Amino acid sequence: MSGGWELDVHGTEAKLLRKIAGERITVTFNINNSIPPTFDEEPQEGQKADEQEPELTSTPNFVVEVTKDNPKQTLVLDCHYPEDEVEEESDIFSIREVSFQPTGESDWKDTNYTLSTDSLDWALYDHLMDFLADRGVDNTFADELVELSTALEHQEYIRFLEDLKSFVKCQ
Amino acid sequence: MSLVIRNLQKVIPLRRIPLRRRIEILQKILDVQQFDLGIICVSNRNIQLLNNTYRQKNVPTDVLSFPFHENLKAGELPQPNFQDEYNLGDVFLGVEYIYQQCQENGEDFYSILTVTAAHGLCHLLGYQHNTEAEWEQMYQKEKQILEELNGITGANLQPLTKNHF
Repeated sequence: MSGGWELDVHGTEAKLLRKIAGERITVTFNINNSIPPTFDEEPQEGQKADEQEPELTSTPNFVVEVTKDNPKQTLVLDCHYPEDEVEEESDIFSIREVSFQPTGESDWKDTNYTLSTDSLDWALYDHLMDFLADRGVDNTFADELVELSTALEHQEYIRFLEDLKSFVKCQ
Repeated sequence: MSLVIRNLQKVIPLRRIPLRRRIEILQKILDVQQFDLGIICVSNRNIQLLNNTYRQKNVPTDVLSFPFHENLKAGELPQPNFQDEYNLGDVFLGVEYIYQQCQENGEDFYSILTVTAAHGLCHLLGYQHNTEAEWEQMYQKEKQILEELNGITGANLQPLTKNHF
């Protein structure tokens, strides 16, 4: 990933970390269930079977956490890739929910207010997108995250197949 | 009503709020704040595809406008019958193309984005530049809008139509 992000992978969960100007920014995503379903189309005349294989990309939801030291607070932004590939005029990624969460705690606190962007004022939404872009979470980042996630998912898939093969073979 | 900005490209770093602020001023000057408007920022590749599809010109360009209300007379605001019709349409900004032009000409990117958006907005409102008479009318409209914008912001923006005929 460009932008000086450190990468930490635990199983299917990956975390990117960056520190800038007194802020700690993490981006967390899980490769499980990150490949959207594709619907097979009717094969065209003359088209070979192997030409129909769609390119599978992993587009995981990702959570951006921005922690400031003074005061100690973490702003959490839940981001998604567009679900519908037909929606050609949608942003490369969107912010779905925003919330303040306790710093350092992994459990989501349901009692903290969560802002949904579904009916949010567009100007405020743009402010949030610019906020993320200023911290390196922009369209380039989102594109590179897809490449990273796809590579990680493929790696785990191969590992799973190998484990499955061993498991099935052993007596 | 809503001004929706979309950024579909990753070639040029873009901040939405500076663009939004300028376009909101344009909307106020044109008295079209009650209409929905879409501003979609795209790459050369994307705008070339649109240019080829809709104008049979297989080259990138700076702006393409897709009016909601077609056949508007230049200078007349739409008169919608239903709430859903309070929509001007979409302006596609070829931000990569515009940025490259700015680099070549030593111009400020957001200033030229504003001028280009003003041009696109005029197209949504029925202005054209296919004939000399149309060009003159559109040029005068853009000049008027930008003079007012310049008065508010202290900028010195000139109409895009200046070089478009």
